[in-house]
Amino acid sequence: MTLTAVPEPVTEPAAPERAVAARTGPSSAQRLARGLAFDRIGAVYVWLGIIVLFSVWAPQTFPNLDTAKQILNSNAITALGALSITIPLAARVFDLSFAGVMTLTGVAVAHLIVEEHVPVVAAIAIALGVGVGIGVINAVVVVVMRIDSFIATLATGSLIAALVTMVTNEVPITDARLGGTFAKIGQTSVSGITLGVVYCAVVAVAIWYLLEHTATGRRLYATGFNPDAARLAGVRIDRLRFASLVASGGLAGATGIILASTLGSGSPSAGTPYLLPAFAAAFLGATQLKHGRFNAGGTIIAVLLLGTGVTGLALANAPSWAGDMFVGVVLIAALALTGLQRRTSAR
Amino acid sequence: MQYAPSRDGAETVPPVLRIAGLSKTFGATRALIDASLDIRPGEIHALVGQNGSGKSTLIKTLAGYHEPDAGSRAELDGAQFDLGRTVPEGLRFVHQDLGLVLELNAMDNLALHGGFARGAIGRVHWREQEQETHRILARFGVDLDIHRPLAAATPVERTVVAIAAALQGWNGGHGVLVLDEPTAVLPHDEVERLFAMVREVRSAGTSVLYVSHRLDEIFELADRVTVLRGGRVITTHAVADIDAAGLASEMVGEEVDPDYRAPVAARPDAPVVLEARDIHGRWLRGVDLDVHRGEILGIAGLAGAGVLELPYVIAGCAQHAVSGRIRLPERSEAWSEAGDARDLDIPLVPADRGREGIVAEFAVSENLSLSILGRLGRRGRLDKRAEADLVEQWTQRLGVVAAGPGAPIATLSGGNQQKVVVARCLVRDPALLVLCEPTAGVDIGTRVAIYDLIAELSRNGLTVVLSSSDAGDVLAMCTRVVVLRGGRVAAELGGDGLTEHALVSAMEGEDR
Amino acid sequence: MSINGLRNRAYKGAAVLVLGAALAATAGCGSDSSGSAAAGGGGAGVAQALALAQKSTTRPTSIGLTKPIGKPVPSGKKVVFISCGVAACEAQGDIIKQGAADLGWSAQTIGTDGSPEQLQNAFETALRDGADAIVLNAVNRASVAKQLEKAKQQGVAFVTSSSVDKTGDGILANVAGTQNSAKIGENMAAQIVADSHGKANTLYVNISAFQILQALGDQFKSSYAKYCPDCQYGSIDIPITALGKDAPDRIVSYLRSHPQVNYVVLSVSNALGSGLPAALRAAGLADKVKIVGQSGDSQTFQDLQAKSYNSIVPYDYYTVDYLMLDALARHFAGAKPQSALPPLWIVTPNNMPAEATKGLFPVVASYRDEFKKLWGK
Repeated sequence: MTLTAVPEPVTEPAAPERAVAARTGPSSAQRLARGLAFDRIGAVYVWLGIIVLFSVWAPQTFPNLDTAKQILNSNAITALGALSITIPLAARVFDLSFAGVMTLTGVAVAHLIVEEHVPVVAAIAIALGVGVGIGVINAVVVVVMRIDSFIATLATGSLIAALVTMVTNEVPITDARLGGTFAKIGQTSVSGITLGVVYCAVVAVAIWYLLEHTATGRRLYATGFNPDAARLAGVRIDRLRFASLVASGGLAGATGIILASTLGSGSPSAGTPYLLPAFAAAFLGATQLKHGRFNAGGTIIAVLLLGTGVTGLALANAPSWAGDMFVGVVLIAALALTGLQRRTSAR
Repeated sequence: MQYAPSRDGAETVPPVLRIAGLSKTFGATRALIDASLDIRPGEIHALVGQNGSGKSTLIKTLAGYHEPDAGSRAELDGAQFDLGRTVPEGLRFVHQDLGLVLELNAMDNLALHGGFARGAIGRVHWREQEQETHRILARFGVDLDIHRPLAAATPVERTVVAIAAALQGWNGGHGVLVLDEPTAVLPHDEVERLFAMVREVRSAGTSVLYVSHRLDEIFELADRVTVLRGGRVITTHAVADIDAAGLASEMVGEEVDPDYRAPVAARPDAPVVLEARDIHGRWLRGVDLDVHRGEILGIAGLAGAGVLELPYVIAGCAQHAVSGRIRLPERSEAWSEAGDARDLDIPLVPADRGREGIVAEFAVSENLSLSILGRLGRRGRLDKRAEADLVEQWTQRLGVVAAGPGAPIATLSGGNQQKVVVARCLVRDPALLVLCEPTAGVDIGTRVAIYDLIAELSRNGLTVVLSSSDAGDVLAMCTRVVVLRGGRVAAELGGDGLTEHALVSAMEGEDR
Repeated sequence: MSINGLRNRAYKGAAVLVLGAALAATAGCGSDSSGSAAAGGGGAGVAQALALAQKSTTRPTSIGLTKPIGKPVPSGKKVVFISCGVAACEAQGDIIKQGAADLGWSAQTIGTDGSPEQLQNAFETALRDGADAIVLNAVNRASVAKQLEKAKQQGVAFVTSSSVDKTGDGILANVAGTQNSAKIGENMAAQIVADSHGKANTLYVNISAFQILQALGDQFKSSYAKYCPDCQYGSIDIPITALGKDAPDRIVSYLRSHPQVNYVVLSVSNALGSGLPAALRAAGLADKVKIVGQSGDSQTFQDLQAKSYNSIVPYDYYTVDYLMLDALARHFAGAKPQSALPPLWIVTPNNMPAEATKGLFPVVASYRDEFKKLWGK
């Protein structure tokens, strides 16, 4: 083993140095200004710009409350999916199986209600357990067997897909039984806003609290940024990574149940379209608000930004190729405005 | 052509590199103020200065990273060049991180800098390339397997490859090789090899601009030394005309004793707080250790002797299988297996601060509080107010210099980062603290501050185990030193027996 | 350039990009919207539509093919079914097996993910394994041209369904091709005009990536205009990437910006209908529009039963697959080929069979017996 004495970081001091004095930080006005800076919420400015753009482009239909509700409703599931992977991402753990888990729990709850005649509440509980169970399996493979999370969850996702096909034979599980109480979970609306949006808000607040205001949240970030240093500082990194994958499995499971309720069936392809958009939102969200840390608020901003584009373009009767182009342009614009938050930018 | 080192103070030969009127302003900060530098042909010219002195800005400007303010002039071998925008042929650099890709082998790394031997359609002529690589390395007296990735090479081999890479295509004549902290990653016993290389470069006709923190190296190697402080060039001396104390004082701007010894008293009769028996690991081959209350115990030795492994084992942070027994008699009579030492909860200041010590993306406060998050609030909630109080208390106490508790830790100097890491260990109110390489990459002013800090902690009852490859550290701070050689305890030095000579001979073995 | 300079450049660049995208999109054409043609005779058209719709709403009782093969069908033939990967293809493997057994043949399924490479591989494997006949739905001649040529040389028969390619030159039969699509389009137009008594304003939702749908859409549009010249028509195209997630949102957006629309036609109900009833309900549009769909899975029929759909023209996998096997049987028996369109049925909540919500079901209940009789089995 060679001795690794570390040389000085070759930096210039960023601001005049003085011994840390009393806690008179910047004034609230200064903090507000800093909070509203482009490099904090660049995506929000792009979002506002897009709202203006569409309001001008489709003045009859876009700028009203119904549009806002429509955007919220149609992006609730994506947001829930993105939130569920935010926790492991904070610890730099990738859960690529979450879309499969969404499909699986949707199929499971439908199967239980339709084929096994299990009462709705019990079926939901069992299906949630399935989601948590997959999370545990992921955690064992990643933490105990020490397999890279990216590859490991790709693999478990594939296994889940096989399981789904086994259960459904590619035919959606439907029945009138899924229409009653069960459908109410996802389809009830409160003054035009579906319950999915409400769940999303609850989960977002919970995750924000976890990551911002608890010791566990801080430890998750430490585990993600520098596992060696965290371990030496007494953080139990293996336990945290394990728990993060169980959490994402559980949340993805809940999302899948809500999705099945919205669709009114256990569809064997329900979760697949959400994989990439959720990751895109989570990564874009990490550049917002918290400078490179995955966070709930940023994720929501990202989902809304992309969702507003889809709906706005459709309301403005844009050609069908405009959607993909929009996503590309917007992502680049939001990231450029924010500045790429990388480790080296701090030096 | 052989060049003799020029030792006379008068300028009889025109300088090979001349910089004049160099200023650089970053926003409100004036990093360099009207700096000037002359390097003579065939000279090893040292550049010293603390962090914030402008030393790194000067090197970066030379390397073309920064554009200087208007009014600077630079000449290489009589030819003017655009300082900060162009880097002339004769100016070669080996930066602190060596600029090597460790996953590639020596041949590829040399080719990265100098290009491959290629044929008509761009095909690489591997045989030719190999021969060329061997030739280049032989010039510097290095014999290593050029096909193995450099990650497997020793640090000095890597440094030599980096120097060879930098000098590729250079056929002697007037030029300057800039070496920025080349010994920072080298264990002390390898430094002589590097010196030999540097002298070899000098005799081939290339001058060397040598940047280093280690004053002893400068006195051994350099002909002249330039001191930077506060962005200005304070003075340039012939090395023969100044001593270490004087040099250190000029760097800091006040009286500084480089042979500083911290005021601690040895307490051999104090009760034993830690006992370790028969520790075996990857390098350790049966080590017994007793640590007495209130002492500062040093663990010294050469690389591979187990000097870094032992503290990690005690702190329960070893990454591979270890065996042996450890106990803290004041806490319990029972012995713990060495593999379960983590339960003893002994905090560790790790050796590689950047990789294992700080979380670079975190702020100062977040790094500091990381070890006792659980106590800063109830039921898992993080009380930010309590955290802020804690951070303020400790940064005051240790004198951490930063823009504020929310400043990213990466903006702090190495010494202040080290203080934060130490604070993080101390917040747990431990009875025993283990430090590895505590002053690695720390400039001389902060180094003394750290010595004082540790001495004060010891006076207040903290027991310290300190492992270092820097004899200066060990001598300055420790009351007793255990010297490891080949994985076993070779000697135990204390009191009057603790001299540099005794230390070095014990580390190297009787054949010295 | 300094950091600040780069930053400013980035802001301007981003603004230009967004503006540019907006302008480019504006320059493009929007959705296709056409008003009424002025031709008169609205009442006559509606009456025609009513007649056709009424006829088609009655469940067909015969497969439509009446000529028996007449010659003995050799047994022991090996049929290889190449599945295209999506659910609809997967389900057909069992039907083919059943039909092959009825003929005294054996059948085997090779699964693929639908990509050209895998289709070619499966084809090669089938030829190597000594298949006498190969079945691949919705074949695109260009992507398996080499394999088709090989099959032709080896004397291996190949049949397909729902393909836009012509028969001949290696393709023995193409069941339910563009002619079938056109028939469906005509019927759906009739259904809407009849149901609305000539007062329809329709949105046609297309997936241009599925080429077989083109004939359906074209015929729908022209029949619709014929039956009801005064009725409004509009269409949107959903890209494949939006299926399953964004499709309902796009449809809702169109409906919100065209509040007069009262009928929505889904060219493929399986993909386009997923999540649509819920989205319409959430937007308060569920009572304003009626949905008419083509094809559909158990979920679609579940929604039909719940009256979220007005009507569905199902894709009869059973008849289509048996027609493919029939073409093969006639070929191996040395009899003349017979082509027939699978019978069409407009399914409404009133005439829906209970089994429809459980999975695939045959449109003609007696299909199996009829085919076996034709085959002399």
